[in-house]
Amino acid sequence: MKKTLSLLIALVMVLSCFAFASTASAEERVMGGTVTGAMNVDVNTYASWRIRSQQEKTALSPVYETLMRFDAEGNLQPYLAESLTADQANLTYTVKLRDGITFSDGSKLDGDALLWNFENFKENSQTSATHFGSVDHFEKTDDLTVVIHLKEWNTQIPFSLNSVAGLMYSKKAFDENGYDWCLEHAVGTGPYVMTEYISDDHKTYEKNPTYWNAEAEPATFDKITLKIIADTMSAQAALLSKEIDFYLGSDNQMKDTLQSMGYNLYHNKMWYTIYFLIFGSAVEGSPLADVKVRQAIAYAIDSDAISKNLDYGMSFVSNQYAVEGTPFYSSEVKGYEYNVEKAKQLLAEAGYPDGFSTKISVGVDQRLDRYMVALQGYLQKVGITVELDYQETAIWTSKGIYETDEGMILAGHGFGANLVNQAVNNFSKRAISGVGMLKNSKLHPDDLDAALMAALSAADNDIMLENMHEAERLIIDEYCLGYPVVMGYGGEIITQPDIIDSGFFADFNEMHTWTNLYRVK
Amino acid sequence: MTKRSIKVQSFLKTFFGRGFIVYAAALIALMFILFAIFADVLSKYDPNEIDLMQSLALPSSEHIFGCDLHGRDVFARILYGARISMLISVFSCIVGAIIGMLLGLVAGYREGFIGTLIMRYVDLQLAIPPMLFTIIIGMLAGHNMFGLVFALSFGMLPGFIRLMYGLVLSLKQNDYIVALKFARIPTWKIILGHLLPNAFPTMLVTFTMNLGSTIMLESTLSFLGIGIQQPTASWGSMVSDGYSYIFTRPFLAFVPGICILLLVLSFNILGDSLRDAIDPRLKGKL
Repeated sequence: MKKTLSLLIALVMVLSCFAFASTASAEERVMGGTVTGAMNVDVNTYASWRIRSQQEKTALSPVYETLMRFDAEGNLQPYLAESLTADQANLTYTVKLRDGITFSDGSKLDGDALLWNFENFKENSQTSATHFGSVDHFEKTDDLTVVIHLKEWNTQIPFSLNSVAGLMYSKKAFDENGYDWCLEHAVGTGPYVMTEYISDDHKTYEKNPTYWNAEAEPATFDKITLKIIADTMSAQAALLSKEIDFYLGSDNQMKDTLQSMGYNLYHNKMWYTIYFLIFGSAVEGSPLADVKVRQAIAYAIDSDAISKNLDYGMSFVSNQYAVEGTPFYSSEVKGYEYNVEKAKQLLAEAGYPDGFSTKISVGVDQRLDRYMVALQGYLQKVGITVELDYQETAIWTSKGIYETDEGMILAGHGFGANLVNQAVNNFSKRAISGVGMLKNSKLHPDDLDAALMAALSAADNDIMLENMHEAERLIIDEYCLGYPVVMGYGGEIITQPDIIDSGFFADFNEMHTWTNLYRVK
Repeated sequence: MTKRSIKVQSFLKTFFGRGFIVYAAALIALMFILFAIFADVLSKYDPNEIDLMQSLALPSSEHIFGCDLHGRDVFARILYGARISMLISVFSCIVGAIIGMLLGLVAGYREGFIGTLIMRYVDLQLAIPPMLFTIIIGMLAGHNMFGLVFALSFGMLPGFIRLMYGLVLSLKQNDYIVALKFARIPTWKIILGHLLPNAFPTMLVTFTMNLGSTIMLESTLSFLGIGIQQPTASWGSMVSDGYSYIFTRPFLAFVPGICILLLVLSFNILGDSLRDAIDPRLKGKL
């Protein structure tokens, strides 16, 4: 009996060893080879300072790197920069670069290149006002150092240097080839070099042989191919047939299906997308000019049901313009719980007991149809007839989102570490001359503007948050300028089971770290 | 038995001459017509009312074809969708046929500059791919029922004009028309009293056969998002919405898809049979 027991124990131990060995083997990182991914939309630019969309950030992250980067714990650290020194008394930030960083064209990232990058971004980027709106000028003080001089104190500059404002483009490439060439050619310091691109079809990247950080962060693949697959059903088929290793742009239904089949879903830990219904609150004579009507609309929408049923639980609900658990979230904000009776009562008090007609505008490529139909249905229940206005992409991005002159818009936009910037951009008076959503037909109250500007120029973090919390209360409870329908994750990719993201999308950064994407055996 | 009843009997005999398939087509077409007329009675659900708690519900005794993403009853939307599809199809064909027949009559009877002008316009429109033409007109006319009817009827004009033009050119060579002209009978009387009635059976067959293709075209436009807009139910947009769930909820796309298939097939078969019954000489020509 003892002998049998001993044999059994021995067998179990041997099997366990095999099991452990196979686990270790299963997680072994494969270096080299090719990874093939796909996105739903192609990029509009290859120049670092023109990058805006999630797809552009993904497609150009192999080539470009930022001055600052979040570490694995979510702390902002210098990356291409060696240090970033803030001097509030003198309204300056000093950026000192690491020595020895080179672009893929062989030129050096030095003070001249950094100064040119900053000045070029301030002059030519569409998001210049968001990131460098408070910058007065830049000054090169030595071969590796540039000082940012501010007009007013801005707590968000370090976060901007983690974003597109912190991306470095080769000055040599610009000087030799000119502005227009740069719009179509990516030349950065990153681990990969773009070797081929065919619009709306694919891009190819190869390992940068002179990558400055190859020892610490080696490129995990020899080659990357990034395809464009606009249709999610085709993308799903491509993933199932292993034609592609990952996909950016899947809808929630596709994520739900593939996740249940063992595919990996990764999302960013800092960046979220808010689907915000913004009211044309400053349009004279419009029912939406009455705060009670806006509040009624907010009460009439069941965001929990939308998140659970339309998004398969892959989005979540927040009662304000911030995500619970982040410092920007204010527990003082009451928000609007789904309450049809309350909505009807507010409409009656506002003089619209039988409702009224209005419209919701949205960009046709935003894939928000599921929300639009739900909003239309919910508002119909309180007597508000909604026309759904789908605007062509070019019209929407250049005009509609800012200048729609009546009704509401439904806009999805990302935010994360730079929430103060985003709030200032959209809700302060600065929004009117900048790129604020519904900038001409939305209210920009004085007290909200004051709170936002105080947050932007706060002396310390506590003051910034205190003002931001007040701004949240004003945006949602006091003026009801918009209603957060649901929140989604800012960047999400779905990968084959053998493709692991250890900080590619699944980290705190706005730009993606391709060296953290790898294949396992 | 009167002469008239013999004529009717002969018509019906030829009409149903192909046997079972025509009976089935007539039954299906009749069923969808009844669905469209009595949609309010047949369904206890509002086709546009959302109920997210029923999102993607499977077929059950409560919802025989299940529910779509927004929890709307698919059966109710099929019934109301039949109404929309048929209304648009019939109205488009009527508008297209009336305008097309009038222009064809004028072009064929008057010939000369006006006739040339009309026929060159027809050539011009035929040079543009029909789907592209309809999409452009549809987008210009607006995403509503009027816009869709306008686009679809505009799209079918060349067919009606050319057919009518050919018929009139042939009919007006007949002695009785020449005699009427010599008798100084007013032109409008010749056109409306003699040419139109003689061309009518052929035009009726074309009209019927166009019903099916118009339903198809309407569904295609709605599938592409150019047709009837949300929340109004339309079979094409139902296929478009359900297509994303083809792996998990295939009935969402298949049910409206099968309805389109059945109705288009029925109208085409009935059109063929009508052609055989009205003028067997046309068999294979239309």
